[in-house]
Amino acid sequence: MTDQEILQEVRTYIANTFLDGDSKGLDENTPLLQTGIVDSMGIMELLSFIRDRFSLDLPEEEVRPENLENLKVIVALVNRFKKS
Amino acid sequence: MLFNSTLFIVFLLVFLGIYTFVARTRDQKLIAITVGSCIFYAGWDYRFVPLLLGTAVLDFFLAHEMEKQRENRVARKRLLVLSIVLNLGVLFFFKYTNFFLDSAYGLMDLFGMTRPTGFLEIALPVGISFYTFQSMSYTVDVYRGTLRARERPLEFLAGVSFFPHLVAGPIIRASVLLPQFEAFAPLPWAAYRRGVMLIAIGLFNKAIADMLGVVVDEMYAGQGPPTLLAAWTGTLAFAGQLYGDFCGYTDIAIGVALLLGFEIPPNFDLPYLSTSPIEVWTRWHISLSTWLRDYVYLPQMKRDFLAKRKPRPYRALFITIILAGLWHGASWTFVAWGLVQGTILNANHWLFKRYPKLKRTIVSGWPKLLAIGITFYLWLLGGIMFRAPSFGRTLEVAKGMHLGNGLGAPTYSNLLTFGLVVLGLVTGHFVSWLSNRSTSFQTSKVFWPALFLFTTFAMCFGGVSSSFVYFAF
Repeated sequence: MTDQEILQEVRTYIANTFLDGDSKGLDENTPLLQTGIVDSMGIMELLSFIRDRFSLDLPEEEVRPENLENLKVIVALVNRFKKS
Repeated sequence: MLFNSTLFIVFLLVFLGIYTFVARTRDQKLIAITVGSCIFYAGWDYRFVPLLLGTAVLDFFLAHEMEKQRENRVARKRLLVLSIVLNLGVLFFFKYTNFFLDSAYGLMDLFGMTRPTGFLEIALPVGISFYTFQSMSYTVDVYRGTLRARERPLEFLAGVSFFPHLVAGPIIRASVLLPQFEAFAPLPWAAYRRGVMLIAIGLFNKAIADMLGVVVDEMYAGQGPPTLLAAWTGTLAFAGQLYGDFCGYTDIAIGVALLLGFEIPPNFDLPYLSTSPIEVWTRWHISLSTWLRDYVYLPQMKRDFLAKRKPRPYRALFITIILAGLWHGASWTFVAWGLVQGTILNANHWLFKRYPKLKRTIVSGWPKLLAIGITFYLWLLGGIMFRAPSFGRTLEVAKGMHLGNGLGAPTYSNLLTFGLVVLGLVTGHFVSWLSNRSTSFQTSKVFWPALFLFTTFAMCFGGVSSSFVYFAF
């Protein structure tokens, strides 16, 4: 899966789950937590999606909000912990 | 030693002199910060200085030991548990013993039992809730592996005891302050100017808070249910007082830290303009809400996540907010406040989840104004529980706000007071908006007159050495 494909999938998920399907203005640098797009309740929901969808082997210390700062950071997280 | 006292101004000037001209090396500056902070803290109560340093030393060594046991997960966990038990044990002893004893005595009275004698009233060390959280989060971060334990205690001691934020926050995590204490990189000149302006703004906001505090005290001390106008005047005044007091304190803390060359993240972001209770908690006492999110709420969720269980976010949030209530004060009214806030926040999350369009609708126009109004109204109701000395008074004031005690006969004086309260409330936010969101104060044309205006106002109208509301926490 390419970075672009990962980005697109996560973007679509965020738009559908948190933005009522509207992904306008949501680019790879949009701060997800700071802008409230993903609130405290959404953090684990999004992490669960990423873990399950991309079959990640996420260590405990990586389960933290900083890894969801924006789409770019999420793509990097997926690449780092994809099961080989 | 209050920020708005002559003693603090003298202390700050002497400290700045020593810090700038006498302490030359990095280590000397760190020692100056630690010693200066201990003197500042001793100004409150010298008996608790060992407690402050002891907490920090203990966490430093536990984290240090954790680092040595990097590969031994069980040993690290034991050290973490020890840190949490000791920190919370100290906090519990000083802050909650009296509360639980009083509650137990109340129950004994209820059942006609005789109260035991010989218990001491335990004094509350000022700022204990803030520095305990700060110190404890260091060991948690080292345990999680998001921060490396430091080799030298000097930076950590200076960080925990750092006097600008020692007694009432913001709660600054080790990961923010330690790198700055290690680098000692000078800030641009504009940062020092900003520091001076923030101190003036903080004193200005505190003066507004003091003026509003008179109205608040009068309403809450009153006998019998207040009328509509009196209840709204007092409740709005408390919202203004709480903001001016705490945001004012934070502005002074950030300003003083900037003068010493360190940046503390903002703790407020115009919270009364929030469009939902969820948003309020991302804009009010930001350092506490993010601390609670990362060290209380998310760990509960994380357990379910790692065990691949269905997450229970509403329960986790509820527990977190009740604990936040208890953190604010050891009394049942704060527990009740936590219950109400927890219910409001959960309802808000449920609404946004059930009707996702809602979140997008309230971003502009009249829906935004309506959302701000409803959010602020809920905040005011929460404020009554926060301030009222008893449940009885809470209900009386809430009833008064909803015409339960009649309109009352509005006199010129009452209407004028109401108008001034609204003006004070709006001014506090407007000045913060100018300071945070606009560049007006950066130009010399505005900087000097504004500085003069704020300090003059603070000197003329601020209460002399009046305490800050959050010092009680």
